[in-house]
Amino acid sequence: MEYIKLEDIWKTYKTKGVTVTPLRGLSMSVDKGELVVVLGPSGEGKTTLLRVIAGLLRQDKGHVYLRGELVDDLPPRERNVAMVFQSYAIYPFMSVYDNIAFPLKLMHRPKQEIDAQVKKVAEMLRIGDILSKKPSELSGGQRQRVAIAKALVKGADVLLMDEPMANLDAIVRVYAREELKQLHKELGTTIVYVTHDQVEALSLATKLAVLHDGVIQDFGDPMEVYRRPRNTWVASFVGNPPMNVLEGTVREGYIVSKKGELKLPLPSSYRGSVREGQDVTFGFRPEDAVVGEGDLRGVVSMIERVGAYTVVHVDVGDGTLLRILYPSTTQVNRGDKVSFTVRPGSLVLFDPATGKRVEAASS
Amino acid sequence: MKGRSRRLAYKALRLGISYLVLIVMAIWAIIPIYYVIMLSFSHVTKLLAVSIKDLVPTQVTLQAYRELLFGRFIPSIKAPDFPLWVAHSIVLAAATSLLSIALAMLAGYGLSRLDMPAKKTLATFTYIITFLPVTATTVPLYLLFAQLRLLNYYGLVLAYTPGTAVFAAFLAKLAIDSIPPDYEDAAMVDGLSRFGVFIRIVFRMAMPIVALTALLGFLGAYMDYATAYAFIGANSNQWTAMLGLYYLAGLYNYASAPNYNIFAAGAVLMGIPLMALFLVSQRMMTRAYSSLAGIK
Repeated sequence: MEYIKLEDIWKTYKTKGVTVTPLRGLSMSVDKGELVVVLGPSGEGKTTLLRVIAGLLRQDKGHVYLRGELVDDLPPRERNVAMVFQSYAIYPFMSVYDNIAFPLKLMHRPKQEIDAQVKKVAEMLRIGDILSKKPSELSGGQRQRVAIAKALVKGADVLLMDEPMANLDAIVRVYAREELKQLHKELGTTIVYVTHDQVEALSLATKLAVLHDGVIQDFGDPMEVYRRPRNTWVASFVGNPPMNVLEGTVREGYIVSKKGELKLPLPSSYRGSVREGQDVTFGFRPEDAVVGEGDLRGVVSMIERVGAYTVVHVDVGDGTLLRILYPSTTQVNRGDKVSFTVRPGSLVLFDPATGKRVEAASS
Repeated sequence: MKGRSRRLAYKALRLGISYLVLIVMAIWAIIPIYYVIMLSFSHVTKLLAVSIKDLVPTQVTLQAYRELLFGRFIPSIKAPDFPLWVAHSIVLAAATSLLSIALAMLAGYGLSRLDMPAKKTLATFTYIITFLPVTATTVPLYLLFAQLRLLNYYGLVLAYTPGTAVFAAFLAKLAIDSIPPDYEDAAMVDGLSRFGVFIRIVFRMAMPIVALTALLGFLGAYMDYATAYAFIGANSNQWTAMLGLYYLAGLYNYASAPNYNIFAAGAVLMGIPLMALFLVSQRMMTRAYSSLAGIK
């Protein structure tokens, strides 16, 4: 069942005399119990999208449905959604306990019920021992838990999260991510989670939505989006490092790049979907290049050591750079000549005119 | 060794100068208050000549206080006059204070948060208005309120309020500017209406400024003489403490001889509610000043 449905949402607003239109006909539907991560560059309306769902912003055009019902005219408090803000928005003048209890107090629940509920949620998030503290005494990780506790306490089955881990340090973030996944599994809440962090998106999502230009560019299983992006923009955005995307032409069973000297065999699955002489855009993941074998050649022009692996930028002629992953143990220097090949079957073809992925005729 | 003693001497000199300056300032601040309190306990009606010798009281009497607290001067008033007038003042000042808070916070919220045309111009205009002395508006206010048949307590409250509220609205705008809007959004998702958010979150977070507004509003009304004189000067049954004190000290009528000891005792008595108010709101007040200092 479509639990959250957005239909052709448009939103324009003015900030300091500049008119921006972050959402341009965005449509998306989320099934019950999914954890949808909306991934997109900064400033492209991810937060706006959440605020439209919560009812904090009124869309200019289009409709929002929650649990199958039209909620366009309902104020936030009647939509029965909970939201975790990037800044956490825990009231500084209330203790942690009062912060968590606040939504329940507003519902005029009996005192014992509020107490039981707060304690239950606090235990779930392991913050039972800090309930009497003031927010200013908490660490970033604790604040985030309090914010999540406050969102969960209402029992709302739609949870909106706006980059809740952006302010955590790297180690805490890994644990927080794992805990959130666990929590989601236990509660079965429908979550829309917004982030610009690639790793977070791929590791958390049960469904990944990529937002750009005010519309959802790609939506689906995160690894599916990663392996087979729907268009060239998604290919060059998702993943770190992103896909190598090049222009080429189909020639005698090969794809020949227009710039540089790259000649890759056309995967058999695409034989039926492209013609001889047709222009195509093709892409492959940096980890799908195998170094040390094959007949493709290039010169190392830049080396990015990330730790677990090394991203090597290889010039294949005409200044065309390819990103290739090396194991971090491999010695490589600038100016080295390397040979490599691309794993057959890892190629993804796009239509150069529309940027859309070309479906393989057979797989 | 030599360098160290030089450093110590320099430090002592620096401290000495600092203390000297501070002590002089303290004397300037304390002497007038001391003088007024001393005067209030004397039976001398004239202003004392200020010489060191006169600063030590020779005789202490509560005569002035007795007169103020229990004296009956106006025949039509059935209770001791001055305490009644103080009560009038407190009610008037409290009403002004509350109305100022409501007005200032609503205006400040609008200027800070709502998307409306000419917002910046309006905020600047609000700020500039505060440069004008409130006393200058007494005559036009009198004429206007006479037309509206509002030359009474209600009229006074209405006339006092803008004196505080306009400036306070500007302060409230600055204070609300510094509250992250996320708190309001979170409260709306938590289950409050927009107005509920205003009352329960914005007020609470702007509390230092609310307290400052309350104090300014109270002070403005409590200490006013000119507007009160114009509005209710003719009716001694309705007088405020300020009007009453001027009358009792003989300053109301230039022909009579002034009683400065009464005036001083009245000032001390009128100061008591203010002191109480300051003590209650001291913590908030410190925060108000420090929070305003952080805003450009």
